[in-house]
Order: sequence, then structure tokens, then C-alpha cells
Amino acid sequence: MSQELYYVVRYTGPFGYIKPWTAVRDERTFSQQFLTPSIVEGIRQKLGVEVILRHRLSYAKIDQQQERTQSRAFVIEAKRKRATREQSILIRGVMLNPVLHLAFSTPEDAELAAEQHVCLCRNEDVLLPDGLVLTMSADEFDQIPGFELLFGEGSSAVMVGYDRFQANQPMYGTVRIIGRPVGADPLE
Amino acid sequence: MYTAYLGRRLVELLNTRDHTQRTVQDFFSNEYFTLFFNDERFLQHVNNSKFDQAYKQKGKTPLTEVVRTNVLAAQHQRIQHDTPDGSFFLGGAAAEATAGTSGQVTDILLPISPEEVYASWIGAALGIGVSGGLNVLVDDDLVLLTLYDGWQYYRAFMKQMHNLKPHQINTWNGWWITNAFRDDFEPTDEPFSHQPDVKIDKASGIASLETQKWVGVIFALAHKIPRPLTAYVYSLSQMNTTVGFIQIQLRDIVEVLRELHRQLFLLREGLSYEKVASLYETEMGFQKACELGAIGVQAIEPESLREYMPGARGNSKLFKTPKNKEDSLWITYKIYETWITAMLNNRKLLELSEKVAAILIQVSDPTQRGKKGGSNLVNELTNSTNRNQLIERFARLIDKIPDQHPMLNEIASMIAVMPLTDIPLFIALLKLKYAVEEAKLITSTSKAN
Repeated sequence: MSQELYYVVRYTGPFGYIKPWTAVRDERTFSQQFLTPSIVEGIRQKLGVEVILRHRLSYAKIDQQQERTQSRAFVIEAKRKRATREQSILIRGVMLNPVLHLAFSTPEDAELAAEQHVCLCRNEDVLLPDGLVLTMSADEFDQIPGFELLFGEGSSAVMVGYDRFQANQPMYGTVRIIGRPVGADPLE
Repeated sequence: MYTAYLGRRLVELLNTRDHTQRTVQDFFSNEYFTLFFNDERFLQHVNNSKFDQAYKQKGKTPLTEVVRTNVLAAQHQRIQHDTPDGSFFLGGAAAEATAGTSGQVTDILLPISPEEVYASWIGAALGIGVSGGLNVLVDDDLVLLTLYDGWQYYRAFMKQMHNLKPHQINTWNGWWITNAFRDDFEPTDEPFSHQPDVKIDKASGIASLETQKWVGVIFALAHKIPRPLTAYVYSLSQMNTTVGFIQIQLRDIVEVLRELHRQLFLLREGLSYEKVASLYETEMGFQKACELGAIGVQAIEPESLREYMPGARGNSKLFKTPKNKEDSLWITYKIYETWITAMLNNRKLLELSEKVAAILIQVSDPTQRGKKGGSNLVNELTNSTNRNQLIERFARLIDKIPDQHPMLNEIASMIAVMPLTDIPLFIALLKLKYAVEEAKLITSTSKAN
């Protein structure tokens, strides 16, 4: 049995959203329920830590929220002498009350991380740390309910996007679900 | 996009199976085009593609062999030379940065090769259409090859049926997978020994394939692949829907279905596994089910069961007592019972609820309705809305049945430690068992008379 210890920080917030990589022309998109290697690397760089070993994500419910989006580029309307942006409607399935556990390899990293916020894929969805560092074994970490993507290829792995930090190589992983990842903490 | 990934996977699988070296483009031109587009009726709809444009013009320019070959050449031209966009790269982004959806596109510059574009068409033809307008892509060798084998039968079926409308490959896949994963399926047989469900529009006389229930497709998958599958759920149209990767917990689902089959077989001899699967109706649509995060036992909640559970909307319904042995209520009740038992994950609770129901019958004694005031106590009990009420109302029964106090004690201890979300399920189970006991009592007294 492995004696490896994880130093775990728990982050919570009201909303969370992770755009699936395939959502490029959508009128309705659900949030992805796990982190990909590039998301973990982004969070690692933001926190300024050595390594993030594992993650676990759970939430109370998916809430469908309608919003108005704008195009990236302007359309020049020469006659009316103005530039406008095309608008569109998007219904986004957002995670309510997401809970993210991150496992670090050293107490120093975990202490550093426990004093900072993180966000998933929208920077307005801030998740705040509990401020406590939990020390636990890998087995104990495996009991935390939620979703996790175990990185790497394998027979049940799926392709989850391209890694901007690794020369846009395809990323693969196996989705793992522990316990009841959704709605275990009922909304008040 | 993901369609491209799966299209390439299929060609790799076929090369391995048939010991060939086909490239994706070979496969596209020689097999896929021939089967899907080299006919007056196409098997697949690719919005805004050259094929789509030609199809819409067919009143003016009939879709002859020559026209079709030209369209293929034009489509090749676009794929080889133009920057891929959603009109011919399936699942791809809109062409212009001024499109309303352009904000969804990544700033990573991904070189999309023609191979990938060809593969995206093949991948999109592997989507399994289910009720609710969503498609499911499954990255599993057996599923991909089975769907591929079904394509030629779709063409054959369309040839045979002159008024069948085109473009329904995803709907076909839904029917094919439920058909091909049956135990009695023999690929060498005449493939249409089980006819697809077809609906004919009375006014126009045009026939169309009926979409399969989502739970039917899930049951079919569960029957052959008893491991968790990570499926990709989406829909492609003018604008797309991305539900994303959803795990389907096939092993848990197949256990519910096998148990149900066992139970129903006792009730109605000769009932096949497929028949049982077809009887099952779910409360939730597929999209709602996907909101649960994973498709497991919870997602296949039987239709209308919720009406019998205590909830926020006041008093819940009472279960009707089945009239006789042939009453179809028995089947519905078995479905409810099997699902609740799976949800509670507790066989002991099932046995206990049977015993308690038997006691409750004694207390209320429906054969001499209202004489002892017991039925009121029972009604109150089954209308409990929370844990405290439930235990308290059980306690009131002690006066009526003092000799049963060990069992009441046992049930109170179980309710005390039950997760909060299980309490409505348990109450529904109790009510169900009560209705069954009542039916037994009524049949036995009517025999006695």
C-alpha cells in the first residue's frame, strides 16, 4: 500500500462553469464535470505551486441560465457609419455550489494554495479556499465524492481536448465517479 | 471535434478487422459516399453542405448520378482547400468571426487536416439518436462496429420502402443498436425480422423512422456492455447543443433490469428481456437525466412514481388496488418496487416493508372499513412528509398491535439512520406494499365468500 500523503485544500463558491472543448457553435451547453490536464496546469501556474496531484469536483445541481453573447469581430456598417457585433442567445448549464478538492504534494504548496482563490473556466466564478490544509492518504482522498478525470490513454479513456501547454497535443483521460457527486448537499 | 476523433477510430477498427490499409479519405469516397449520398435519397443530413444544397435544388436539377458525382467533386474541393467551418466540418465552428457564436471558439490555432474533416462526417454518422432530440456517441469497439454494420441495412430498408423520408441516420442507429443487441438477433437472418417503428404522415404519405426511447437505447447498451461507459451527448443543427461527456453506469442499470425481468417472469411467463425493457417508461427526459451528472439508477426513475411520494405539492396519491391477477397494475408496481429497492440499495428494507404492510392491513382491516378507526392511523402514516412524523406515527400504532413492538422498534431504528433523500422512497414503497397486501386480502375474502 502506498504511504504517499496528500495535502488537500477544499475550495467552494456559488457558481462554476467549464466549457467542453467541443462547444463552438452552441445554443445550449452544459458544464464539463471534471478538470482536464490543461485546466490543472493553468490552476497550478496561477497558484504558483510545484504540482497538483489530483482533483475532485462535485456540485449541488446544474442550473440552466440564459445569456446574450456577442461575436468576436465587429461588422462594419458603412452606410450607417457604425460598427456592431452580432448577438446570439446561449443557454449555459452552470454548476451551482461547486466543491473542488485539490491535492498537493507538500505542506508548503498546500499552505500557499490555501490562501488564494481559484476559478474554473470563467474568471468571474471565484472559488475560495476553506483555509485549512487536510492531510490525508491517497485512500482517504479516494473516498471524497465527486468527478475526477484520471489523465492518460487507456481502453475507457476519452479525448478531452487539446493541451495549450503541451504544443496543442490531444489530451485523454478516464472519467471516474465516486459516491454521489451531484446533489449530495441539498440546496437550502 | 469529437465526431472527427470517432470517425478516425471507426476506420482504424475496420482496417484491423478486415486487414486493410484504407485511409480515411479512401473510406469516405469509396464506401461512405456510395452508401450515404450516391442515391436520390441521402442517409445523412449535413446542414449547408454541398449535398444539402443539391438536395434542396432537386426540384430544379434532379439528383442524377452525374449531378451527385459533381457534388462529390465540389465537396472534395472544399474539404481539400478551404478553411474548415461548420458547413462541412461536422461539429466545427461557424465560418466568420462575426458570427454570434464566435466567442465560443478557442484561440488555440488547431491545424485541422482534410483527413480530420472527412472523419468528422463518418463520426457524425455514428451518433445514436434518442428521444429528446439528442445524439449519443459511444467510444466502444463493439458499438462502433455494430453501428457500421447497420448502415447497409438502412440503405436496403430505404430501397425497399419508397416513401421513407431521407436523412435519418441517427434515428436509424438508435433502432439498429436496440435491435442488434437483442439476444435473438441473427445477422445472417433476414435483417427485418423485427421491423423498425415507422410512422406514416396521413396527408403526405411520407414515412419516417420513429425515435427510440432513450432508456431503451441505454438498456440495449447495458445488456451487452456491463461496464461504465463515458458517452458524448450532443446535437448538431443550425446551432448545436453540447451536453458533453456523461458516464453511463451500465452495470447498475443492467442489474435493475435483470432483477425486473426475474420478477416479471414469475408474474407473466414467457416475457422476454426485450419486452420488459420496452415496458419501462422513465419520468425524466434525456436532457434532465444528464443533469444528474451520470446516467445511473437514479436517472431511470419510473414514470409517475413521483406522484405517490410525499413531496412539497401536498398529499401524494394512493396506489390503486389491482383488481385481479391480469391487471397491468402489477407490472407497473413491480417496476416501481424494483427501482425503489435498487435506489435504497437494501433488500432488508424491502422485506421489512412487506411485513409492515401486512401489519398495517391488520390495523386498518379494509374488510370492515372504518369500524376500528385503524384506517385513519394508516392513512396518516402513509401521508407523513418527514422522518420525525413517520417515526411518531409508527409509535401510535403500538396501542393497536402491542404484540408487534419488536418490529416497530426495528423499523424506527432503520428510519432513524436512513438518508434524508431515501425517506420519500421508503414511504412510497410502504404504500405500494400496502396496496398489494390489500389486493391479496380482497381476493382471499372474495374466494371465501
